[in-house]
Amino acid sequence: MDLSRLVDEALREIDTAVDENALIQVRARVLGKQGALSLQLRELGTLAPEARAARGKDLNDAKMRIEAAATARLEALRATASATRLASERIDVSLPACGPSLGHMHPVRRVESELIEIFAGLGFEWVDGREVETEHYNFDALNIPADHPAREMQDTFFVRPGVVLRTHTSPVQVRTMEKRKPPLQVITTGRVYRHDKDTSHSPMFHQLEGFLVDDRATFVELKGVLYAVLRSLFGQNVEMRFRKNFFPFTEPSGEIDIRREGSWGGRWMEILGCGMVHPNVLRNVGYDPDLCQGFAFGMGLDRIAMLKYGIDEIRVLFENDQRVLERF
Amino acid sequence: MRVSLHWLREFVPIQASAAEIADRLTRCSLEVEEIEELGRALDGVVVARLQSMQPHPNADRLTLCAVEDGAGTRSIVCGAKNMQAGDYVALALPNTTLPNGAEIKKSKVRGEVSEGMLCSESELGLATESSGILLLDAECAREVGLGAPVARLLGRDDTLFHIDVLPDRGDCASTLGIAREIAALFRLPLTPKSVELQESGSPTENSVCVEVQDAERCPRYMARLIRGLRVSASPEWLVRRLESVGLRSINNVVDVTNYVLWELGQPLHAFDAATIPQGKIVVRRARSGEKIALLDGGEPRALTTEDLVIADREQPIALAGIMGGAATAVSSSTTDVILEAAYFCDPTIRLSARRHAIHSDSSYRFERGVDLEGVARALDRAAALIVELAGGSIAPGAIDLRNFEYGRFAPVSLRVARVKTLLGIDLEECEIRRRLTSLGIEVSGAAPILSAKSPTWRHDLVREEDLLEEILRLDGYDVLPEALPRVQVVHRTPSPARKQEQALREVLRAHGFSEAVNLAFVSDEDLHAVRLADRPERARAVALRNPIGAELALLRPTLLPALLHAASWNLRHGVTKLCQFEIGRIFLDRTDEALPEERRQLLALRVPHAAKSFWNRPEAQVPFFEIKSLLLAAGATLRHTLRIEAAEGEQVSPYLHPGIVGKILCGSNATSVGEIGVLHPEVARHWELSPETVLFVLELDPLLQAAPQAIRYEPAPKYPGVSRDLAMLVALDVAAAQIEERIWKASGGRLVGLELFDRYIGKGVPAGKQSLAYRIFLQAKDKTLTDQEVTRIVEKVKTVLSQELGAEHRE
Repeated sequence: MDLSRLVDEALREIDTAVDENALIQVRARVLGKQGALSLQLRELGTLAPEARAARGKDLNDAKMRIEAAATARLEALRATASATRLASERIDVSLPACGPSLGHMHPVRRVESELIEIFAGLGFEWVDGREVETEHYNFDALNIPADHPAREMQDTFFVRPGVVLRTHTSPVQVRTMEKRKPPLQVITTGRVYRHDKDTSHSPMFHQLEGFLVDDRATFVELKGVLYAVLRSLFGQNVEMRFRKNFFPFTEPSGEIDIRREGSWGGRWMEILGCGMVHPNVLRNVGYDPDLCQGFAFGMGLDRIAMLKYGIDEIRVLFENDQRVLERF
Repeated sequence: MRVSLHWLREFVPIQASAAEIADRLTRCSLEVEEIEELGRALDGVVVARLQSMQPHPNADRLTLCAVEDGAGTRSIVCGAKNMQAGDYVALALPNTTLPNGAEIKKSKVRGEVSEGMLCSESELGLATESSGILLLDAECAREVGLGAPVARLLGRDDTLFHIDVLPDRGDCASTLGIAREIAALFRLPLTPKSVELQESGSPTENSVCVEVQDAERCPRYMARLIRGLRVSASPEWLVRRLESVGLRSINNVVDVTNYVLWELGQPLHAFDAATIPQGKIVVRRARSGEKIALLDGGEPRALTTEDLVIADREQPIALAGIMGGAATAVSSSTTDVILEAAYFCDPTIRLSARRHAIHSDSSYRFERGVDLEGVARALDRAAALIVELAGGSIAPGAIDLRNFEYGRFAPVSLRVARVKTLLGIDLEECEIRRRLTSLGIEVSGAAPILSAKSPTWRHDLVREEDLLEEILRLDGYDVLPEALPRVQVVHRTPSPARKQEQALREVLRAHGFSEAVNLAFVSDEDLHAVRLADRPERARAVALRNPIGAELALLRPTLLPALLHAASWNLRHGVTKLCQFEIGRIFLDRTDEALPEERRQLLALRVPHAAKSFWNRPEAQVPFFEIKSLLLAAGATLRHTLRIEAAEGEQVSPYLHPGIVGKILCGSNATSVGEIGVLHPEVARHWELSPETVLFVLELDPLLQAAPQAIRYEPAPKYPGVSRDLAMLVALDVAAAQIEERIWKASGGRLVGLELFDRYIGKGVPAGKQSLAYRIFLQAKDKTLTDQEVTRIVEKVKTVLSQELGAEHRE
């Protein structure tokens, strides 16, 4: 066959090959072992030496042209095939995700975690404590006398004489001081119980309690620590008021209020109670009030969660309505 | 407690606004919970003078009035007839809402403009009925001036402070007490009232004889006798005063005793002298079996020997410090009264008041402690006031029985340096003295130690710290600087329990579980519903002696019921998928210790979709294996490889499906740390939950005790591994765990992993059998395994499986 016709025909077939398979067949017909061009190359040896060089060059050029065209065509075909496949694989990425979505934190746990972290940054260590306590740890050791109204059945849950559900986290303070020696810088969090049927209260709620006892802690340091904590929690511009209060286990005692807008209408809301640890409390755990001193504070986590997130009823916190939890 | 600003001003010349006073009291002394402006109801009603009147041109019954209100003249249409030109009247200006709810607007009445309204007493809420408009006292009106609020003229512009009196500040439970605080806080003088007493007739001791048998509980008892008085209604000012603090007027004698109580904080009682034989009064403990009918009109109360009573020769006539008896009460026919002012000890009164559930204004004050030295003044003040209002004469001399051992406060030492070292502030010694003195504390001595003698009305200043608080509070805590502690740095290890809980919270959240917080109480019924009625959990459940209700009667011995309640509630309210967990304590009584056992537990509960509600989820998933994977992930996050072992019988909690339940084991000694399974169908039905509800319970304390796997580096394998498939038929009761254990054991350390890639039961598999296909991965650390070695291992595994578990191998 005439070489140029062969080349033209091959190139035409390559260009019209519809897929990779067709292309391979074309290639095999021309360049394969029994291919038209291969046969002609093999015949070169039969030519006279003077004619061989020119003929060889022509054949090689033809081969390279066909090879190049085949390669180009192959790439083009692959590109097209790939594009087609990719196009066919298109999906609607706006369909909903599957697998579990992130679960939610309980609002009280959220403020608890946040506060524990803030206090950790100030060097306070977290400890745990019992929820069913003796009257000794819940009251006596904290300088709350036997005839104090808080010790009545209408305020405290009794399990049996002398055993109560802790009404505050303060027993942890006593137990920790008994076990260890100053300097101590400790917080605890947990559930506490008060006998309260009032709908604006709950028979169970959460407190965070903390204390620092060493040989030098002062009232202005108490203020510094608590103001720093409340600014971290409610923002640097939170408006605070620090006023006098009374607790049997601290002296001097105080209470901090923050001003809340929104549904609270700019009212001052109690946020925590605090004071210098009462010398009787120190004495009760075997410390010498002349050698050590310190401050203590306690706050309601539920109340803080309510003030922080705008929850108006404490009841909501313990219903575990999934639709509410999903906000947190 | 309510305190009137007008009344306070009788004791202290305070000019500050009510808001300022409340703010200062709240910051430095006692919390003012509310400021009540009594005149607020009459806002917009002013004093005006009627200039002239003429008939309304279009209505016979109406009058056109020209009224002067200080700012100008208004024309008012009025329907009343009881006034005449020159009268002073109460004018409600336009845009005023009257106490009866009427809104006053500028309007036209029958064609004539009316710019306000002339008010009647009933319209102003001053009387329930009235005829005609209110005509004001001309002299008073001139004094306050035209345009002044009518409330001021009527003395109804008082301000009430609602004050939360702290338990240690009984001295503040009176007008005088709050006035003392205000005087100290605003640096004003206190202006006490002097009492002038005119005595006449036969001396008191001729007619009254008092015997105190329990001087410890009654360290001071005083009495006066007033003869020939006339009991009648109290004057307007007294009625209004009492009303302002929330009391109803009774008669002039009783009202005076109440008035002086609110003014000076000293409870008083008036006995009708005619009802007390020979004027004999005994202060003693009640005898058992004695009863007394009190002034509250209730059934006679049975007394105990712990109650202190005032008695005549035979029987009790008053429950001391709490309430008087009905039989000796002052009545309209009373002419002579014995007036009692005493000091009863606070714990006695507190316990009695509580025992009889009577909380009177009197007991409130005795419980908090009154002023031992103020008793006489209050008695004299009341006697003088009674005579002023009811006539009669005060018998010469007061009875005063006093236990001189009582009430001598030792001076308290104050180390001046403590102001710096405990409070952290710098104060000059003279300022310290000034502050203490302003509170009535007598300061003597000099630095370094001052001696402070507290006034007799203060029972709370017994320690140096108490004095330091007084010094601190006078300027308020808000002015204090802030400092951070100068602590000694101590190394502290974070709590492992807290780390554990936080890690679990995170992994559960990542798997779509939300944290619930439930009340820690359950009911007996709940425990029945989770089939624990006959189990130790019920027997050991901690019962409360004073639960709020039956549904909150027990401390929970399991976290389950509360989570089921929440799940059920949520599903009923349209939540379609529920994954919740709780971390909390369970409580179990123990016989050997007073305090119950408290265990930290985690319970995770998954209630599947009510229906197929997700576009891309295969319906036929076995929920158990989903929660099993979460459990293993939870274990892994704590670096524990948890294992689940089949359990049955008594070992299994009855709230779990007996066929789909496993014990959770941890560590090399296989400590049991919980249970996993499908909720028992009966329990699921009780709460209307899907029978595919799954859960696991983890015991957190034992899990914390188990040593976690250490993190150790191992190089990646250098030599290639191979995998082989094992397909077999085994009996249905052979557990996968048994097969896996055999494979591990038989492959002699070359096994690096295995996976079950197929399990089939049904057509083509003989009944009672299951077809299982495992892929095992073999690899050596030190060489490439040869085909021969691999074949040998596989053959050994096959042999063991056949011999020990009856496996038939398939190619």
